[in-house]
Amino acid sequence: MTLPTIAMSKQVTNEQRKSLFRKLLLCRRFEERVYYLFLEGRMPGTIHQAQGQEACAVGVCSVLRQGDVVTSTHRPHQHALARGLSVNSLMAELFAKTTGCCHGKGGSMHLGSLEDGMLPAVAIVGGGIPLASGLGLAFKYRKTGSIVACFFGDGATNIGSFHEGVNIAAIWDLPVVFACENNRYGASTAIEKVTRVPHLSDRAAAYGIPGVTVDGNDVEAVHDAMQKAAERARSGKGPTFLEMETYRVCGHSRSDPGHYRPNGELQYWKDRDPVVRYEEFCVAQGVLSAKEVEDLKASVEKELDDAVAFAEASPSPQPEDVLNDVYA
Amino acid sequence: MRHVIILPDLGQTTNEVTIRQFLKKPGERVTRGEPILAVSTDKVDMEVESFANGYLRQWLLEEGTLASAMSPVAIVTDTADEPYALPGDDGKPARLEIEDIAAAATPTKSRPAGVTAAPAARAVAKERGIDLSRVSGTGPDGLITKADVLRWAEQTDKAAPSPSSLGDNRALSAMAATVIASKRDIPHFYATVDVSMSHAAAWRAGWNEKHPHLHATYNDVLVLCAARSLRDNPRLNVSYSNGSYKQHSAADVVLVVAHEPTMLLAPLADPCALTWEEFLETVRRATQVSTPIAAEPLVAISNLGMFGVKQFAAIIPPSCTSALAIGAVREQPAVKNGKLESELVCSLTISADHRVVDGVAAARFLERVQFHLNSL
Repeated sequence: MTLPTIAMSKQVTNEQRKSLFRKLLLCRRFEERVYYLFLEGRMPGTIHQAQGQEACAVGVCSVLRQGDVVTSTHRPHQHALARGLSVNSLMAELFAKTTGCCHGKGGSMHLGSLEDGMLPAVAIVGGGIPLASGLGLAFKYRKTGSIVACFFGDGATNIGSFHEGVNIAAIWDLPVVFACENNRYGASTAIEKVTRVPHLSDRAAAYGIPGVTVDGNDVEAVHDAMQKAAERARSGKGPTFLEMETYRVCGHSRSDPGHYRPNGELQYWKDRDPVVRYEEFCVAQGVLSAKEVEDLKASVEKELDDAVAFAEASPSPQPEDVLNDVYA
Repeated sequence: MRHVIILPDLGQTTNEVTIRQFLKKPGERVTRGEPILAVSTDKVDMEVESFANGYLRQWLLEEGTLASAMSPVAIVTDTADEPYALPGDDGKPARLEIEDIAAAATPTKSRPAGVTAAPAARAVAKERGIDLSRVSGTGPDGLITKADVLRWAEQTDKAAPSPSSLGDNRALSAMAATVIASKRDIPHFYATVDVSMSHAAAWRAGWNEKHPHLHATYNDVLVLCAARSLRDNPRLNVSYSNGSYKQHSAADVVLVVAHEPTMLLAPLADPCALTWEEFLETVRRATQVSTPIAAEPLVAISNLGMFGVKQFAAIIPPSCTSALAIGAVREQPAVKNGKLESELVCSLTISADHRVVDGVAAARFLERVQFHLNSL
């Protein structure tokens, strides 16, 4: 079947398209690589992955500037990759090595690097939202002109901290974009079972801020909506609620086979794969030749090979290090 | 090239996985990402995928088996007919063993555990090299304040030097890891009997008179009678691993011997097959030097009677399924046919793994020890 077409952005240049495609590919292949490392028994622990949601992270982060900060969730790998944290430092963090972005102590669910524009992820559902508003207040107070992109899932919109965090950002016009990745399930619970409004962006009305819903599997649609929200935030007009409709084609975690999905749903979304869709778009538009696509794929694989080798060769933290990086 | 497919650690409440069904047969082609077997835990049913392209060559476990996460389950090779080694045959351990875990868990530097102290207190303590676990706190909920640290420093400057620390001790750490694993994983239950030693004591006196250079102790007598009882009670000679049970035939036992600062295990291969002379010499040898023997003892025997301990319950070593604890042989009043007599008795307590041994089996074993004591 043919995929739904990409809503071609008027603002994105062909050079940017190449970079967007490579980022999408990197996110997908990174997640896949990590999954196989787990199957091989080389990478321990459980991990929450986001195959299928790549266009949300890449589209939102493509608009951010130096100084802007992303807050993230228990599913943070793609936010970090899209924000530009080094693949080596992320892979090493998942291997719990000292060369990781949190010196191996954060692991999958707490990775981040403030210097690189990402607050270490908060794995508690909705936990990042009040922190995003706090960061927004700091940026406003210091007049830095920076903004916060606050990622969270559909499940978080029914958490108390969502109400508190969004409301305070709204009343103080804080420079925050609430970037909601609506992947339709809070772990295994379908969003419509726990939420009455048809679009989560309808909730923005309760806070008196704009609410937008976009195709979260179309990286350019996300880019354009985020650009508008970011401009609003940067110009002091306050937050936007940006709902991106997407789908997690992998399980919630490594122990989730996804048996709660209705028949046909997974295939419906696989047919709207954000990475394949954008690849076909870029080739059809003449942005990338078939050869260039293959070269990009090879360069991403090489980067991941190097990152795994770097991570496995890196030292583990020693018992003496346990009290370093501790603030309280 | 060989690829070893492992059972994934599905986390949550368990690290054990049941193999429900194989989805591929040996010889079939498999592709990376293709499900090759279905597994269950107490929380979830999952399919496990191959991480490699190639040919499934061999299943290493059987359908229906309960196995630990990370256990090798299948071999995939790049080509259909290349030779391959089994995991473990190539010098690499198939999985982490208890000893590795104990070694890995050995701290390289001791640190105060569970100490709550104010940052200023920590700073002062660090500066002066004071161990905060030795300072008592007067702050809220026992929080150690800077003043507490200074007061402690002042007092100890006047007082005697602190007691010496045992420091890092790999033997103690290994023992700690082992007993934690035993108490965590083995559902222990206990049964105690008092056996009469009167006949055994008379037999022993006779033996020792005839063999002045090879005396038998009460422990020797009890160990051999326990081994004979084990031979008569095969129900106790069953091992359990990963959900499967295995009957052992030889009545091997293992003696728990004091070896400062901990203890060592001295295995004895089928003592029932030995003459008394051979048995006594084997015990002397086994408890003095550690020689590897081809035995898989499932019953451990421990004795604290020489210290006057009346009775105790032993922790079952991880490789065993029961442990017999021998108390002191003592004289006590006994009523026989309405008359008060003096009798030599000894308390025997069995600790048994209830995954394998039930109460009746344990009781029959103890009962049979008495039979053999009386039949010497």
